[in-house]
Amino acid sequence: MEEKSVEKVEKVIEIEKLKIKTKNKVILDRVDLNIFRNNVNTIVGPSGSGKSTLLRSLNRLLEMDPAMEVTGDILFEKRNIRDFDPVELRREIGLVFQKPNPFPMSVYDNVAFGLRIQGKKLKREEMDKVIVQALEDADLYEELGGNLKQMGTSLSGGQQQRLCIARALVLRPKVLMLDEPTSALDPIAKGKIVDLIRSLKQKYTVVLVTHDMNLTRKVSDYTNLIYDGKFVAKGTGTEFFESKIEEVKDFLSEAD
Amino acid sequence: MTNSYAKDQTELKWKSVSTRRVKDKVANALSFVVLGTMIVILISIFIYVLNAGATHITWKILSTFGNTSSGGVLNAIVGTWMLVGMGLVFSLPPSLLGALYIVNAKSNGTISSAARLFTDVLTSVPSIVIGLFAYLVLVIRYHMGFSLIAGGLALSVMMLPYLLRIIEISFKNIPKEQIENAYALGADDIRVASRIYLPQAKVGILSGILLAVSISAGETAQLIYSAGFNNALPTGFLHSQVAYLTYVVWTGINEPTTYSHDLAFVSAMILVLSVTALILISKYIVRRK
Repeated sequence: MEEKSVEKVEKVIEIEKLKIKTKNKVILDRVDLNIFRNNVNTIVGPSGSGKSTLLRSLNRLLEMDPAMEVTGDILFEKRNIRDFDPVELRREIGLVFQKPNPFPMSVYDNVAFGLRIQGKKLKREEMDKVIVQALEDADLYEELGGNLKQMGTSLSGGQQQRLCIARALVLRPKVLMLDEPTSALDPIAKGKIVDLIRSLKQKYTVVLVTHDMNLTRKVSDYTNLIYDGKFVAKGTGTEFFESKIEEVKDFLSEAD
Repeated sequence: MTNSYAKDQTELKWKSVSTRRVKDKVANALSFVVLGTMIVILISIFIYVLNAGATHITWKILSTFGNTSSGGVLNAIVGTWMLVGMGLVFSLPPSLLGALYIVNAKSNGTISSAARLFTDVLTSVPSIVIGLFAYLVLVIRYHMGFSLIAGGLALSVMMLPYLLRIIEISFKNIPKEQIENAYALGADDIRVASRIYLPQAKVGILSGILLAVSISAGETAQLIYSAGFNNALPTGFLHSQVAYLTYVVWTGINEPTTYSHDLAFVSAMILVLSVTALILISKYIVRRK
């Protein structure tokens, strides 16, 4: 159902026969999946189906865990991610985690963290400009009233999540991965993240992992279902929700 | 029959409750007696040492060099902190690096477990054995002589397991998500260590340092075999002996003059006060955090 709709859209990430396992368990089994440029690519599936593991494999963060064994290929802009330096790759493919977790420092320093660890020596005015831009992109600057000296940990849950997004955006990644960004938020904060995701795709390729089907309906351009470690179905926009595939219908009825 | 059964059950229940209550009270009383005894012993030692030291302390003892039977203990005070400082120089960097290795998810689990086992064993090695090892290896084999370096190294062997364990715990208290976030933002291992681990664990590291310092300041056995004793301050890092307070306590009390005893009491008082101050400071720092 997907081929006609996406044939002209550029693929940023191509996942081919990806298998991730530990000593005792197969987490993902021969997954083939594409991520399309300047779109919101959503990966849905029940809890424990391997969605977050898939995200961590895309920026090679999974390599931090020696128990994980990864086979298959992941191409980022036609180049195998194994050929990238992991540190460089993680700057290109940003990841925002499910639980907002700002560093115990000011909002300004939180956003500047990524730039500073890269050893970028920006002039103060230039740094200020970049940080304000990232906070504006994350729809947070106005809400903070320009007070960037306050501690990142003192913000509300929704603001902390957007601060974490700003922290990733300041590095100007080509792909921004969001792992369950609304799971810990109240409805108002959730609404802001929905608007933010819609606006982000103008500048970035977004990969969204969620089991929230309302969020998926509102923002997703391409939806992929991972069920029990296996890739099951993909579809554009409303196509996915009208799928006749049994697993999709089962998952949608359970999720709703 | 039902009534009789119910009565039996009620009696059993009350018997069981009353037995438990008696056991509970006996256990509480025993704990109280043991704790009380310990506190009384500790306070007695504290009062005795402070009283004996305060009675004999003079400005001359605090401000002049001496040899455990004449003069003062200034050389021993300075020497103690020089040895402790040297021990810290040798033990802190490996403790930090070791703790970073152990907490790093990428590390080999077998090596991490071996490191933990090694430090646990090291904690239980008697200090006299460490001293003997230091004497045979550092003083004799490597020709360091009784010296600041040999003494510092001997002390560092004792400090290392405490430091490593406390720093490891401090690192483990940092939320795992923050470490992952830093890696996800493109930090390498060195940046994660310098920007996340060290700043966030600084209070734990400081309290570990204070604890290791306070324990090692009271050590004697390793230093007898590695630092020797000096009537003045050491003139170099090698082949120059170092004075320390515990030596004055140990030797002074065995000498037949009243003045030697006075020096021993004053040294003991200085040690107890310094160690108590360090422990209180470390507790204050941890509580403030």
